[in-house]
Amino acid sequence: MKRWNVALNALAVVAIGVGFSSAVGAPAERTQGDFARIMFVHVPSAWLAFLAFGVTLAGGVIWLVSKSLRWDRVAGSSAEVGVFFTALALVTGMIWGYPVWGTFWDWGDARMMSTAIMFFVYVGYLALRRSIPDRETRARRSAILGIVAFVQVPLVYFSVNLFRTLHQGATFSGPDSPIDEGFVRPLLINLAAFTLVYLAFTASRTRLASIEDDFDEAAALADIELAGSGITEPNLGGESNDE
Amino acid sequence: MSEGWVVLAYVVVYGFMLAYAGYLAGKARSLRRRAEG
Repeated sequence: MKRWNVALNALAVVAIGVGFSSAVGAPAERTQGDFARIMFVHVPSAWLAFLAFGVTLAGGVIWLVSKSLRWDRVAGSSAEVGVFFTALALVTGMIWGYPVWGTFWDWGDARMMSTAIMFFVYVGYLALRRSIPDRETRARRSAILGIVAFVQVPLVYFSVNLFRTLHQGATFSGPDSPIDEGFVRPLLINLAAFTLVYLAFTASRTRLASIEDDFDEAAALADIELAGSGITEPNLGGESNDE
Repeated sequence: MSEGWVVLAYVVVYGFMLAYAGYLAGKARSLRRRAEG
């Protein structure tokens, strides 16, 4: 492991510790009390999922332009980490929803359903990548799916504005945000910490994908039968080959 | 009671992070072994 990779991992661990202590130190919310502290892990998870799928989109586009497989590996690794953060957003949302809304899941809620669909589409993206052994074909098809699938990200983000269902509106939306100042700082600290975790995971996953590709290439070369190995040696001496 | 749900959410998040980090470490170890073998 490279030195900068070790430093990034260490920084992510420290940042998570700082994020946790800022979440513990945040004030309790007036109506939700301590339940609002779940926001400090739920919201960054959702944001990081969006960022990860954005990197998958960018990686796919860059691959299509440059044909550099490195960008395909970045796209695939980011999608895997994005699925991980989407799962975290879904699970923490359910844990938050039960005591506050009285239900873990609402099948009619636009944000929950669109996030769940996004999760399964990107699981499908990962399954597609595993199903194609040829690297060029895999890169091309997954780049196209990564670009098409990203359409869901703005739909998920704006679903709370487009549909009036159970999930609340955007928690933090700039200077006019309805969120109290006491929550902004821990939220931003946790967002930074989760971003470092995302970077550490994606860098490690991309490095492993590169090593896996080298092994696959070596194995594929070893398996190639030499051209013409099925052709018998010509009989130039006039003697019969049939003994 | 409210602390229970909050603790569960944080345990899930940090637990998942640890599990994924463990998965990556295991994958790296197995690739290293494959390279040596």
